[in-house]
Formats: sequence, structure tokens, C-alpha cells
Amino acid sequence: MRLLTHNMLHCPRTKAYPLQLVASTCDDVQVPFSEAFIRRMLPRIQWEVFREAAAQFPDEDMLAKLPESTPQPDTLDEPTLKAIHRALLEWHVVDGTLKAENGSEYAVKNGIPNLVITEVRKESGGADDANSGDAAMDVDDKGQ
Amino acid sequence: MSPRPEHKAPATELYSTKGAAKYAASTRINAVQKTLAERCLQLLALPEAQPSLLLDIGTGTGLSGDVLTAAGHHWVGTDISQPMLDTALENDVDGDLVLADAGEGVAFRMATFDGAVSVSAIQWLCNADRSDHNPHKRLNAFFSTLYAALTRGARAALQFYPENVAQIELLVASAMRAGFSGGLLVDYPNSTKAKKYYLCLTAGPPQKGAVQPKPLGVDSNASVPVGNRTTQTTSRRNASQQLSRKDQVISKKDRRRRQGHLVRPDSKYTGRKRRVQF
Repeated sequence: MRLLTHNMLHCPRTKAYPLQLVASTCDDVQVPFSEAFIRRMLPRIQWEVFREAAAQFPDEDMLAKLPESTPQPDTLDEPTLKAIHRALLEWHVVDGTLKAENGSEYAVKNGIPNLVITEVRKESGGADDANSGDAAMDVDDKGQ
Repeated sequence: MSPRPEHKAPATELYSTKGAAKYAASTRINAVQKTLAERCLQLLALPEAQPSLLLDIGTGTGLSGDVLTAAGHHWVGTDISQPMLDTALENDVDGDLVLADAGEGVAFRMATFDGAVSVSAIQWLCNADRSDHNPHKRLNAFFSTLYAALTRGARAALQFYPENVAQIELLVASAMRAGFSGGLLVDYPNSTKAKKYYLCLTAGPPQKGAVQPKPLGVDSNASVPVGNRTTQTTSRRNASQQLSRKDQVISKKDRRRRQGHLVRPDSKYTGRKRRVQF
């Protein structure tokens, strides 16, 4: 899950925003840089949430390059844009959890957040679905 | 007529590990899905050369996402089946994947996406797979959250396979109730096989000057894409008509030999008529 996606997600149950990100494993995937796309996304990003989520990543230098507050489109230079691009699109959360304010938790496994509210029934799910069923059940127990 | 996949089992069961592998391995399905995704992208009518953020509902193994990536867009795909998303991960798709049930709503905040596409997915919402499923409620939840998640004026092109007219009416009515403008578009309406249904929606009131998309294959002279199958069968039939009786028998004996059956050797009498006996 990219930070861009995290920035856009809200709790499917309560529509609470933001979901607090706790990342246990992270990854780095190269993505071609597109200035037009980053500039297009800037107005849609909640900057505070983005900064907080980016702090989960071990790269301190890159974090220092990200502006403190919502950047103005005219003042951005290329190194800053590249830093934003890197944090927004190249950093992936592989394993972790998303926590909503009301205590609901959504697991991120193998880079895929599980936002299914009602649990997958275990007995009909069989062996292949047992894992995802477990995750969804945990989420549900904590949510109530 | 083969039973519809929606009638066999819920999506989570049908597209289990085995189902997902079967789906990903079928070249015919892959080709069809790709064409449909390309048509959906075309219906979105996005501005040229502008990288956009798109939502793919029911992304499955990421076939439709690959089309979006090829066009230079970033995308987020949602699906209800974990094995299908795992297959997408193996295929190294460029978009982000989210496991979510579209019938519970699209879990993205206001005005996030420049467009939404969906290939062969939303007809699943018309089914009640569990006792607590209510298709009306699930469709309303889906369309209202989708409406919110799109930027104003953004389009959604959702291809689906309706089971009957009632399903079409249900889907269109739910979309209109959520505030979408637009409606149903049918490609190749006169063909049984090539006929495809799309919900072509705009988030917000219809814009002045916006060109309404035109369905394909409505002109009488427009050609319906024909698969290789029909041409193959006719050519085979022609070929067998041209062969003489003797050649047919010899080729059939050859085939049986290749299959490992015991076949009498060919002679000058092979394929000849027997003389009339009294």
C-alpha cells in the first residue's frame, strides 16, 4: 500500500479519517517520476496525515526534504517534488495495521489492506480463505 | 446455456486460489477483459496526456489495471477476493490493491479519483450471497460512496453482464438515486455475443458541451468483431468436402493410428465401395 492510497482511505464503517498507520515492514519500489501527476495530486493530499505516515519510514533524509506544511504549487522546486514523489508513490507498506479512532483495526498483509467489514465465514471459506477470514474476524472483534 | 458465475457461488468462494489461477490462465478471458478495459478507458474521455488517478472496482488479477498503466495513469484497484489480488501481486501490477467489498461502499474520501472503471464486476452486487445481504442497500451504498469519491464532473465507466432487464433497471435506478447523470450504453446491440452493457456515469449534473459517448456497432454497416471460431469451422468443413472419399478414410485411419488404436494396413482397396452382393 502506497502512502497516496493511505492518504485517501477512510474507515469503511464510520467514514472516520484519518486511519492511523502502523507499519511493521516497508518496501521501496521504483516508479517513473511524473511532475504533472504530483502537481495534480497535491491539492488532494491531507498534508498532516501524509507527514505523519511518512515518519514511519526509516529514511530520515528524505523526510527532512518534505515541506513542513502544505506546499504552495508555485514555490516547489524539482528536488522537493521528487522527494514528495518518492514518499507518495515509491514507499510501500507491506505489513502493518490501520487504526480508526473508534478502535477498529484493519490489517495490511503483503501490501494489501483488508477493508472488508463483515468477516468472511470461516467454515465455508475452506483452507485458502482461512487466513483472510482470521484477519477479518480479529478486526471485527476489536471493532465492537 | 451455461449457468451464470453469480449463481454458482459467492465471489469469495468462486475466485478462491484454484478459481483465480484458472481465471488468470485463460487467454480468452484475458483478451476479452483487456478489450473491455480499453473500451471503459475510452468511455471515461479523460483529457489527453494528463496522468490521472483512477479507481478500478473488481480489479481481479489486474488485467484492467495494466490497460490503465499502459495509458499512463495511476490507479487503485479493489476486489473482494484475496486470491485474485494475490495473483495480481504475482503479475507485478503497478497499481495499489485494496481488499474491500464494493457492496459495503468505496472506502475512499471525498473527491479523490479522476474516474472509475469496472470490468464484469457490478452484476455481483445484484446477488444476495448471504442472508444479511440486501442488493438494494448494497447498490445504494456502492453508488453513493462512489459518487463521493469521484471529483465533480469525473466519469465512471462500469461494464457489466446483466442477467435480465430488471437488473439493468435496478442498477441504473441506484446510480441515478446517488446523483449520477448519464445512463446505459450498449455496444453492438444487434449481436448476441459481442453485445456489451456499460453504465456510463458522470458525477454531478450533465455538463454543457460534453459529448455523449456513442455505442459501437449501431450502424447497419458496422462490422461486429467475429472470433476466429466461426471462420475456423467453415474452413474445416470446406476442406473435408474437397477431400475424396478415399482421402477421408486414409486421414481417419492415420488419426486412429496416432491415437494408438489397432488399424488395418492401407491397401489398394482402402476407401473403395464394396461390390453389390445378392
